[in-house]
Amino acid sequence: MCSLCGTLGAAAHWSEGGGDRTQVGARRDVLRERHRRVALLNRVLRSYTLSVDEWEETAYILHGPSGQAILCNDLTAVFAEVARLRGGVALDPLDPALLERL
Amino acid sequence: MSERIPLTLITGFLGSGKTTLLGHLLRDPLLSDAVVLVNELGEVPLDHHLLRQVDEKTVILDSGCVCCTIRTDLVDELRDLQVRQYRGEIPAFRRVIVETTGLADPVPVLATLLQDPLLAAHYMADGVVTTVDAINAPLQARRQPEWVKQVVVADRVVLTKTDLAGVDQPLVEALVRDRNPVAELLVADHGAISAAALIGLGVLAEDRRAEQVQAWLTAVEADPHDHAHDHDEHDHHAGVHAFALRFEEPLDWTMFGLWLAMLLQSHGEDILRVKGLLDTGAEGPLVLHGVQHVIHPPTHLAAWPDDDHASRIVLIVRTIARADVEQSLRTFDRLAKPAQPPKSEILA
Repeated sequence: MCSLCGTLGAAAHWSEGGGDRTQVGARRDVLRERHRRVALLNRVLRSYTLSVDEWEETAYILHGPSGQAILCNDLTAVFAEVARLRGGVALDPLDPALLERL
Repeated sequence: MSERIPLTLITGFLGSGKTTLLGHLLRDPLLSDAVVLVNELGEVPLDHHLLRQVDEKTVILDSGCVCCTIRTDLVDELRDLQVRQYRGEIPAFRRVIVETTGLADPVPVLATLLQDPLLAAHYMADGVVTTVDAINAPLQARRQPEWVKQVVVADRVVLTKTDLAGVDQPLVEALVRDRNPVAELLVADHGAISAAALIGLGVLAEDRRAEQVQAWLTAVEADPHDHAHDHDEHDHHAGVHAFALRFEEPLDWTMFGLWLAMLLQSHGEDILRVKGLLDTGAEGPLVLHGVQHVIHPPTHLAAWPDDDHASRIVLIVRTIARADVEQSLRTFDRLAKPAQPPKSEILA
């Protein structure tokens, strides 16, 4: 747990890949990948007036269309919150309309 | 990390012979150092009665329903076993066997092992063994979604009661194969089967992952039958089928993770299993293994198992079309890669 913010350390999400996070080089790679993930995620989310920020290497902040800021531990949580913000409708990567926009 | 203790899950529909199978297995010296977690359900404690011979190592979960409470009960039980072993209160054990109820969804057990950091450090899912009652399988396959789920997640399927009159074994085998073309099929002789055939599968052990995925790929790619079939409106598993995707160019792993997380959020109930060897641009492939929402931490292998270095992914799904999945993944992957200049510019 972070002694300042009280964030509990959770088991790494499968999408975060493997690797030893204690190594300086590995930590740098993890951080770079997290920022890249956020950039890619925002390309998908922008047409829904949603966006995501990286937060302290431990979480993502999902910004909703009316100014909400929701802390999400991992990608699974991000998409679950996105579905909640959309009234229970999950973003569907098989949706032809979404693929057309991408 | 010290060597993790393998956990074997025995599941199967009501009356399919799980307990009889377990009774035989527990007489096998190979399992003399196994802890067995059984679930007692119903008024007649038949399971307990049959397993009394291993009473010191048998822990009956009190909740009565593994599928509803497995996360807390199993977490508490497996943690407690570790502590008691450490204190010397129980003999050292080297394996855990969990028997689910006949109506249980086996997936939460696998999820529990991965989601609890302490359990993930000490235990490892070894494999799922599903018993299938050969007499009742044709009816259960049509009427019981639990039956389908238990068959689909199996690494080994054990056919029971094949010696009874009226069994159409080729039909039963086809029913299983259609839902799960990759599990090995075994036949129990009056409930008896060698423990060696069911344990030590190492399904998730890192040194066996590539081998397992290769077996999946071979099974699905070699069979032109698409493992889908027609059923009437009462069929709870209509549309369950397996297919393989192939990508010659390396896949962007960051985008792949994003895409799969999104797919599982929107179609998780219909993505029954996924396995793959992915070319992510590294020296060796990345091994992917998942059961429904449960994706195991992917690992990079040092080298490819053969000369085929294309990304290959096998999915067992319900109602989802192969072409839709492939088009979606290709679109997302393209989004992650720098745009290529038009051919006319290259030629100029």
